[in-house]
Amino acid sequence: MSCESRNPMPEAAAFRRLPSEVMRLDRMGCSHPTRLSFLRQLLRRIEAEAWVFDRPVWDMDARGVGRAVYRMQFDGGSLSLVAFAHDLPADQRSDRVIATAWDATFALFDGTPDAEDLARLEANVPLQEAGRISPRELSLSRANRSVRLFDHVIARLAAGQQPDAQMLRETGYLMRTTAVYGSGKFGAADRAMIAGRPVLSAPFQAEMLSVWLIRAFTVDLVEHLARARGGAAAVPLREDLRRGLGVGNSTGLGMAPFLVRHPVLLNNWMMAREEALARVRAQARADDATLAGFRATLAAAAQNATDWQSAHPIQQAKLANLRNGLELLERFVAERWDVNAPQPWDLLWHWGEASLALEAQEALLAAMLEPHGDLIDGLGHCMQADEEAHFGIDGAMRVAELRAILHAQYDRAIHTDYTDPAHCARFWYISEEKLEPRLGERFEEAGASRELPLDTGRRAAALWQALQNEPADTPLARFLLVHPEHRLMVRRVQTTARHPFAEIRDNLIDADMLPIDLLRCKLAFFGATRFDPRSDRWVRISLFQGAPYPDDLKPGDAL
Amino acid sequence: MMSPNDPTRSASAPVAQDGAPLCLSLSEINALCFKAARGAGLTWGEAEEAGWAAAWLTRAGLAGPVILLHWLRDCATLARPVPEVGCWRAQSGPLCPLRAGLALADHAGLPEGPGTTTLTITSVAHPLILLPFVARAAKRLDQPLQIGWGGVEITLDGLQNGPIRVLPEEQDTGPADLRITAVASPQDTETQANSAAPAQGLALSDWQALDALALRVTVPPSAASRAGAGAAGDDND
Repeated sequence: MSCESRNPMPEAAAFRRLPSEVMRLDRMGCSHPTRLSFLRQLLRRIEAEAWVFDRPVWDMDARGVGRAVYRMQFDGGSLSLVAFAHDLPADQRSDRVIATAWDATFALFDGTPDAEDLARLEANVPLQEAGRISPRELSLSRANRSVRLFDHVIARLAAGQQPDAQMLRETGYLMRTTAVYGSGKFGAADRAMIAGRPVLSAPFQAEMLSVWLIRAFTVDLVEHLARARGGAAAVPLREDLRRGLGVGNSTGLGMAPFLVRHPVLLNNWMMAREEALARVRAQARADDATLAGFRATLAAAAQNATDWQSAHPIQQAKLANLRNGLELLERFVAERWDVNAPQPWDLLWHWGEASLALEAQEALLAAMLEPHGDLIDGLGHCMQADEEAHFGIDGAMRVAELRAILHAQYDRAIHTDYTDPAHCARFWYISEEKLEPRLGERFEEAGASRELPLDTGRRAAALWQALQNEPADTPLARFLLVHPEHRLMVRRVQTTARHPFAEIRDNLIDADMLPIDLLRCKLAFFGATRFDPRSDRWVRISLFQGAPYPDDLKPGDAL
Repeated sequence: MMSPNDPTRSASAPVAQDGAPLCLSLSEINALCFKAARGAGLTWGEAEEAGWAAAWLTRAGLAGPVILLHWLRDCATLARPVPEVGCWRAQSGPLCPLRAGLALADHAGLPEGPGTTTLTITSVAHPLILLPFVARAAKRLDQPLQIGWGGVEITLDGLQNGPIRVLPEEQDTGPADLRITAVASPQDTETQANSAAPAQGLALSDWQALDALALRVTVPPSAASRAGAGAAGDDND
């Protein structure tokens, strides 16, 4: 990774977990947000640079139909969320990508939009995928109301009362976004155009900023509708209740292939997080302030585990593991953890590995990182990737060297029997409608002839087989001339040799593979909480719950 | 052919405004050409390269998607190169520019590859497609490479290259014999800005042709696939 040569703590390397442990789907599917998550990075920057918030446009009628602009100004520019609110009949409300109408639609504009920009956006943004945006826009998104809570909050506020705190806690958001598109989608600015700007260089900063401003919009909208209904009797949402609301998000298979299609990026995310854990474990001692921060984090994690509900059996079992594990952890920390022993964090980590289920182990990781901002926050700078720089293949590499990499990094993959129907039960494909990724059953559905190359393990095994017949000193350039079908996998294997966390070390077409594990890992890096699967491939989450709002961000708030 | 504004099927469809050319982002060009190349029968690894090459050419100011489309139309008839020291030729017929370009970049640093002496590659169809791969070879060799054919002469180094100026009459010639030479001095290499070159519009008919190829990698929906992809319950809650 590009930051390696500048690593101020090379001694932490001895404490790093191995990719063979970290890059397994069951563990990735237990990922928790950490202080390196992208929304945390965004809030820290906004606070440190004292960005200034205002809302230059609020043009909304009594039904809540209209438009608004939420602007953040910073040294060197501004970014504005342009919001369009609609009156959506209930029978059209769907979170699926095949929906064609939403309660609200949004674009993040690069700068401050003028009347002409707003008119152009109003003609396109409400259409979402069927419209076009321009390189002046950095994201395109939409959201639907959580109908029950939305109506309840308006009714209560209109009557001069606060909404039911329990209901707010259970749902956790007034609206959920159903897609937040960035990076050149639908005509938006390409990532390469903005990646050089410090404000946007960390991954998904435009998308995270969009969602944070959408959160402010959702509260403004319910308060507006309450005033329209209740007039002078209406009250604003109480501060603590407002804080507890996030933005929901509904997401499905469309997100799942991302981690496979962006191996260098995945490596950099994982590497940064793992390096952070290693640095903490390598600390010779634990000081009082850090210990206090850790204990507070554990208490918050236990509260979060209580509030975190799911109706899905897989997640219910995980939540039981989490709650039980956090209880054990709190007890161990209070009664048996010798904080004066050498390398006490490493001691704690080893206890956790031996005593906790995966779900609680990964929660322990997040909690251990939390009080160590000074030690690890700089790693956030290492989480973006210049993917194009790593795209080329080294054709001068000899067959023997590629074999050695496969043997070392793909051992599990090349020793899996893909003729066993259970090990090739699934196939990934792109649906013709909406061009969204989907997962099919190979032996039950048509379409496997158009399978996407997400069967990385099987491809590694096929490459391994093909290389058996080649002389050891043949350069790969010559091999690929005859075997262009292995080009994709040769690229991945060479990438993995340089980026050990680039490849998921599991069979992505196995009968038992759970797509939600891929989603959980990616969403945790965003900073998502309350992961709540609605099937094995569809999930709801919450973003920014408990975080400050643009109009009340105070120093120290964005830790 | 789908309507460009059909909201149920238009994920990749840019809205055509009264016949005006379509403006695609580089990532859209990459994705469209990647799928189109796969739809035209290339392997996934080659298709990734085709998408990358289309974006590279566009960034250099050339009509990347159109260049790709013209090549994809005769791709099936084009031959693979047979790399030999000093001169590459096909066993029969004109060479496929993508396969020649990939072999060129892959062989950088090997005796058959570019760099040491002038390399001639005979009869390459759609030669502009080689440019990104010459740039990649130059990067690998850490040495600028000059490619020439007919009246065209372009020097590429390993850094960001462009904008590249090629006269319209040279843009889609027939098969050409190419000369690739290492040049010592990097002074007059073109440097490509990281921002997009002035956007070249894509005619709706060209987009439709690429999209028709891209749709060949997709699977028509079934009731089962639609139902399985979403939540088990209702979203009206």
